[in-house]
Amino acid sequence: MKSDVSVITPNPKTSGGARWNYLAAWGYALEQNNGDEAKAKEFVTKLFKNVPVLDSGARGSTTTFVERGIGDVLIAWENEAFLALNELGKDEFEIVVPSISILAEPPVTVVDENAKKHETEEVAKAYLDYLYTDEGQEIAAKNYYRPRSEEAAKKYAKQFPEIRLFTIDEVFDGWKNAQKTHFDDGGVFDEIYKP
Amino acid sequence: MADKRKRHRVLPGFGLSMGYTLIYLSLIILIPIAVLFLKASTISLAEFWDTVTEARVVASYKLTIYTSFIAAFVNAIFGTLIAWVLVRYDFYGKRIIDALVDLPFALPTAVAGIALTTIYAPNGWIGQYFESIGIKVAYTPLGIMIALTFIGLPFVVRSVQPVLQDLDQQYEEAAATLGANPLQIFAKIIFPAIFPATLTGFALAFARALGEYGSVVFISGNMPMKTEIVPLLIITKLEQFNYAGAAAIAVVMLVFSFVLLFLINFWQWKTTKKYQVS
Repeated sequence: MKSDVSVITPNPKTSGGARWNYLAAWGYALEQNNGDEAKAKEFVTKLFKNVPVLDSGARGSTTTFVERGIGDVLIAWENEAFLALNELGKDEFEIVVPSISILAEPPVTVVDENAKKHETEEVAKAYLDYLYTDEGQEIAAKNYYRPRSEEAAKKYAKQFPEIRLFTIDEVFDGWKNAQKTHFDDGGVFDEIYKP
Repeated sequence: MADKRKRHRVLPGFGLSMGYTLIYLSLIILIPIAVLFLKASTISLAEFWDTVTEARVVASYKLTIYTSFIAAFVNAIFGTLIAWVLVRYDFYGKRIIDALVDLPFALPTAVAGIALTTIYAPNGWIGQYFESIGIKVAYTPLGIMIALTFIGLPFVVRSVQPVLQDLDQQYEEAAATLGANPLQIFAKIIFPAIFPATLTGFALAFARALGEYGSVVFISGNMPMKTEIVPLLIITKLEQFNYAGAAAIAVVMLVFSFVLLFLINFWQWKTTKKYQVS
């Protein structure tokens, strides 16, 4: 990693998106160094030493990078990167796709207790099912989210660059452990910023 | 012998209004603060101490306090000046300027923060000129001070303005006829009269700045040890569901603010008294 390339990413302590960014970098470094945790930590530490502004949220980071012109690289969700490119013109920014990254799967679920209380179980379930219909998957793909259904994935394959994706369960043994090891007080992330 | 006759009062008796005051203050201020202390007390004393003395937290106290102090100080000087101009001069558009002063109150702080960052960022309208002489404003403590100055300005202006309005210009004229020069008139007549009000404005602006979050997080850059304010660390703890830790930091800030405000108010009370006797 070059020390003169400044990176924009939000603060993993306050931003969910930033946690994905951090874990993606960690997983990438693990893969490059045959699973050496110390090397991964070194890589992520170096990465964060090059961050000049830690915004509290992912949108704030995008603004810092795009509007204020700070930093050389913005770590962003794939869909956000495509959207930014569409908004601002393809000649302004270039998307760099890493060879390996994390598969970010935001969960969606019906909270049955709340739904029951509001008597909205039926609509809530219908919405959940709709997300996975062909129509729902197409809408997702059109907005640059990688579709889950094979059909839509095939149809929009050209749009998404090939990339090896690992899941949080594979590398970090789930969110609970990742949060505890990396982001809780006294965790790995805090050590990076220890004076 | 004391006068036994009851003095006429606008509001019904002392008992009723005092009771109302106590209940009101309890509901709005004391009970929420008590809950805060209760939450902070759910962790052991050792944990509490570790949380509130961690290097990063200590750095954020220092940053928050010194940026707030400087911002309030700048406001005390320039806010008083603005109040002076608004009271003593008549000019076209005075009412508009008068209304402008209150804008920082009305504007959502996040909007203020984003607007200030846009202007003071290295590629912003004003920021680019500072950048060209090597001064960074946004994403440094200087940027934090600007945000805090912005939100604190109305407190000083609105505290000093009414006092200046009530200040009879005859005193200044009398002093002048007795041979006082302008500097003496200001130092001996005007300054003593408005100083307690300026102090009140300062205390209000300072207190407000200590707790400000919305506008600062956009312009500060939030770098640990460098530009992380106390309220941000509290939010950070909340994001980790560490409610007791958040409450612990809040308690330290609260006690500190209370002591400081108490001292400033005490000072203000003393100066008011001193000048009233004469």
